[in-house]
Amino acid sequence: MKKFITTVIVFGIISLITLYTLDYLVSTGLRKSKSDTYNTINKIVDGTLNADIIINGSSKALVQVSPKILDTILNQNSYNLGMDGNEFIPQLLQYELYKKYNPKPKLIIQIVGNDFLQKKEELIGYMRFAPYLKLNGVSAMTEQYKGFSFIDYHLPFYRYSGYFGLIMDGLLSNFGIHRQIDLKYKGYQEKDYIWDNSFDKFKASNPNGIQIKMNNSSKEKFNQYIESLVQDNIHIIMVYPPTYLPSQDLIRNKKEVINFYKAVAKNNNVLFLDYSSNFISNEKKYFYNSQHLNKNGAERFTKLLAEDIKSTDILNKK
Amino acid sequence: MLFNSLDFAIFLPIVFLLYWFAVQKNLTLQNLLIVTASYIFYGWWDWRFLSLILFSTIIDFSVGKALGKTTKINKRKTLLWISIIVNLGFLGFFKYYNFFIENFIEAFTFFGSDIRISSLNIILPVGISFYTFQTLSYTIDIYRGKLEPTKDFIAFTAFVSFFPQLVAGPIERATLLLPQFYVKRKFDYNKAIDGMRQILWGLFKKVVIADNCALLANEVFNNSHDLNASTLFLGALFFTFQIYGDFSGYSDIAIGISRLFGFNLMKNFAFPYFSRDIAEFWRRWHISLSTWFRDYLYIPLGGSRGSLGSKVRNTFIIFIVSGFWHGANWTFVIWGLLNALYFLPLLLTKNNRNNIEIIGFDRSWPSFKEVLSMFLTFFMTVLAWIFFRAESVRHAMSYILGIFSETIIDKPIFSNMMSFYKAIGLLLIFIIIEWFGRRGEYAISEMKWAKTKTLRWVFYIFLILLLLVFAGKSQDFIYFQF
Repeated sequence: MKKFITTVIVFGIISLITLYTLDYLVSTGLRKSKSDTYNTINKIVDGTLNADIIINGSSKALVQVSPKILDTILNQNSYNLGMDGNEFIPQLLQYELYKKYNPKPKLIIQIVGNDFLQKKEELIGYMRFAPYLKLNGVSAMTEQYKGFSFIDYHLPFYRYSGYFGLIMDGLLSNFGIHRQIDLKYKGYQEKDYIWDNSFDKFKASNPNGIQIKMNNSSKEKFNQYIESLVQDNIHIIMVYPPTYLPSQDLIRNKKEVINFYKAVAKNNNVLFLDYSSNFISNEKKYFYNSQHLNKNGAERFTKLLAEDIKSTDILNKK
Repeated sequence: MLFNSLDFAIFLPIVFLLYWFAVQKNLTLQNLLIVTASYIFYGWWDWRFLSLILFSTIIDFSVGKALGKTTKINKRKTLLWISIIVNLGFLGFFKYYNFFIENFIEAFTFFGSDIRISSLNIILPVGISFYTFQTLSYTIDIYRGKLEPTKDFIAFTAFVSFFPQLVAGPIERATLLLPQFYVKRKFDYNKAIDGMRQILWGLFKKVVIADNCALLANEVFNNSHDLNASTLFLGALFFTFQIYGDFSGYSDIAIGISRLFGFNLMKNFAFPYFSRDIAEFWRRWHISLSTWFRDYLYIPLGGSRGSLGSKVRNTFIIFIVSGFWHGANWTFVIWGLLNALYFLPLLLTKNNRNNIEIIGFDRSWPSFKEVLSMFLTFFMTVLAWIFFRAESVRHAMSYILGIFSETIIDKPIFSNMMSFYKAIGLLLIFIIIEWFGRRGEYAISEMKWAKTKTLRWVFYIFLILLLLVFAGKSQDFIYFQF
């Protein structure tokens, strides 16, 4: 028995050393990766992002706000931190990381929306955080969601299990070989799509509309986030982007949602720009689905937003 | 509790350490620990069905004891029937009640009568088909005078509920497994190391081979109406390896764990896809079930003795019952029927025992004739598995018709071609390892090519890395549903 236990322990130690080595190689590689998944977060943690204007939000930021247009009109350097499918809690973490490793931005454009303060069970695209689980605050956030399991946090390399493509990306990036390059411009992902039928399906399955449930803890954290930005002397503009008007009729408590944002803005004396009733919302040609603008719509909206920001002269205020 | 879960990874070392350090001096305590661990293992899934196992245990223990006390034929027969009716009654109710009711209603509707009987929302207790057959082997063998009834209730309970093989086999015979609970187990280093190796190989088969093939097989079977022939064929091929990796992987893990506790379980798979004819395939696939049916159904029916008619009848009965054992669906019955049709020509021409030894036993490579017969047998098996996997007989038929069309030479289409190439690569590695390990108990049991311990360890670590890098999305073991 003694021999067996010794053998198992020695084999276990050798296996662990192998796994630690692999974990190190893959994690360091992914931190250098230029792929779509890692490019933005790597720039944040490297401290090379360094923008005057940060656009924070979910896919509603990612595909709808073009830094190129903002930069031209406002004569600033902006970057879009939009995270597809993610609500406020992961966005907050990403901003916290930004704040830690980069100089303070002049302005944050916080894109809000109906699902912004919901709390989903799953963290979409959670693997983007895999190489950074040891960073302060990252696992505290990811643990709130389904995604990484207990063993992912404690056994080296296990969190990459089954992600052959990611493992290859990680290993190759160590040698400067990048299988995939992020083609987004400063984080913005233009969607040159035509209207799909998802809204019709949604409408058919929810003829009486839906009720938006805003998570209390997320609401509280959002309030604290706005307060902290104000205290740090960072300008903030909350933006409710255009959504296809007929879809808004299906949100039974739309008023409650908008009023919440208005109240937060008022309490903290920050600007809230509501484009939900803007002419763009009424034009189907600007959308590829009820919640997202296509390339054409996004450009139109960003111009409008940039002009509005310019008219406030907020960037020249101290 | 699943073998490939964190829960089990914690459970197993705890039971192992208690077994060899806390209770190793007392046989009853060792058996009691196995019973406790087994009930926890099973109860983790659904504790309510522990009562079924306990009830079967009590009935068969009592019947066995009563059989030992009487020599009167009529009484012995009655006792045996009590055991059969109780065990098969539970199995019939939980597994087949709804199937019979639905078919009963359909039959009446076909003849123009309208009858109303409600089907029930019945949960199938995991492993019921396996432990039912295991306990039945106990009472039948006592009835036949092949086994002495046990007086040790704890040993018998441990035999019925032994956790490594409780939910998906191998289906052990009382004559082989029960006596192992009567003697104190001594720790054997080589046996334990071999057990660990077999667990690793079983995990590889399940997590890497079966789970990766499952993704592709599910995609094809769920969208079979829209796919070309080559994709359909590959879908069936992936399912063929999925079910093998899944079930033989489970058996390997079960056998390996048993060895860690000092037990020997029977071999359940012996490289079935290298078979040269269907008779050989059935000697190598799910051996514990095939031999169970052979010993307790086929031979009592007369086996291959008697007239031509009785031989044919017995062959059909055993294959159809075997199909029906797998599930309450006509697809399984047709699967059994198809295998009977494959088998029959061999039986009638007395060629069913031509290939007893493993292919190329004394050679590295098979002959051209062997390759042809191996491919033909494999292809027939792939076609039969389509019935096993399909949702309905109609689905299976349209799937097979889809394969035999002109698009068989078209490029296969999968939503993720990377997954497809990955699975093909993994299958190639798997087949090579299986081929060169085919003379052993399991593919990596001998590893004659690895002369030193260092080489063997490097290979084990390589397998562990493959397990981690290529782990497929976790799927339940297929045979849990049986």
